[in-house]
Amino acid sequence: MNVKAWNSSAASHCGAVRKINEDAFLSRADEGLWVVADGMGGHEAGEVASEMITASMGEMDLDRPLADVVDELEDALLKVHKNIQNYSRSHCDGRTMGSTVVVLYLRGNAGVCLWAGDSRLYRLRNRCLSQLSEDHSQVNEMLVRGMITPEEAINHPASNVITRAVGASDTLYLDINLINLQDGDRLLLCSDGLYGALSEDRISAMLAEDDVPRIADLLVGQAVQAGARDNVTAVAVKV
Amino acid sequence: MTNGVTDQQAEELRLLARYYCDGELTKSEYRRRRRQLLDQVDSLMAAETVSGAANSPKGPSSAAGIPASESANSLHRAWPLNNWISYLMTMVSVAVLGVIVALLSQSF
Repeated sequence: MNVKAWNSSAASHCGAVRKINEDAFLSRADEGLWVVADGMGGHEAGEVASEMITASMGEMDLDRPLADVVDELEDALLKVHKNIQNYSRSHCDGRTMGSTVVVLYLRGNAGVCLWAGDSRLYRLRNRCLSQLSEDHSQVNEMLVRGMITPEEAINHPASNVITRAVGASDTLYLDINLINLQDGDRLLLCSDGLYGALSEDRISAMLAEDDVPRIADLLVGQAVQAGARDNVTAVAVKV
Repeated sequence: MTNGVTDQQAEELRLLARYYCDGELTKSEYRRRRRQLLDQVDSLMAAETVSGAANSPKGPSSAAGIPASESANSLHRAWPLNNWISYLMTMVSVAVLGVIVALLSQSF
C-alpha cells in the first residue's frame, strides 16, 4: 500500500556527559515508519523502557487501512505502557520508569504523528522549521497558559519535567497530529538531547543538507560537540 | 492533498484527542470518530492518486508507483488479444466462404 520509497537516516549517542544511552529508535523506511523513544528511570530501566517501545513496532503489519495502522500503533504503545509498569513492580521495586515517544507514519502525501512527552517531530519546508508535536511538559503548559514567555521557557528550571510518558502514569493518553507533505519537505524526529543542545537555526541548516544518509550523524555529532548533557537521537526523513 | 483539507482534518484530529484526554469522549467514541476521519484521508489520497494518474503525462500507472514500462505493457497486452480474435473471425469467414463456393461449384 505504501508505494513511495523514503530516504532517511537515524543516529543515537549517549551524549557528552552520560555513560548510558537510554534513547532508542526504530527505522522502517521502506514502510514509512520511524520511532524515537527517550527512556528514563536510571539503572538501565530507561533503556529497557525505550527498547520495549521500539521492539513493539518492529514487526507490525502496516499494509492496512490508515485507521487500522493508527489503532494498532496506539494499542502497541498502550500494551507497552502496562508492560513497563509490570516490569517496574517486578524488577525495580515499583520505581518510576518510562519513556517519551514520538512515532511518525507516512503514507502517500500524508503522515500521522503520535507522541507522548517531549520527544519532538519537526518539519523543514522552504527553509522554515516548524514543530509539529507539542511537548507534554510543565514548561510548555505554563507557556500555553501565558504564565511564562518563550524566552523564559528556554533553560527554565522545570524544563525536564514531563507530564506524559509511556509507563509513567496510571493512564496513557497519546497525542496525535495529521501532517501534509510536499516534495522537498524534511522531517526530523528527535529526543530532547538534540534540541537542548542545538538552536533551531543550526538544526534547520543541517536538516537541509542534500546528503540525507549523513544528516542524522551530522545532527547528533554536532549536539555532542556542543556538550549535550542528555542522550541524543535524531531521525531525518526526506519527502 | 490540498493544504486546506489537511489542516482542517489535522485540527479535528487534535481536537478529538484533546476531548478524549479531557474525558469528554470515551475511548470507543474517540476511536470511532478518529477512524471516520482517517478513512476520509485514505479515500482522499486514493482519489488524488487516481486523478493525478489521469493528468499525468507519464501514463495512468505512474502515480501509483508502477513503472511506465509496465504500464505500457499492460496497455499493449490487450491489443494482441483483440487482433487474435479478429484474425480468427476473418479465417472462419474465409473458410465458410470457401466451403460455400466449393458447394456451389460442385452443384453446377
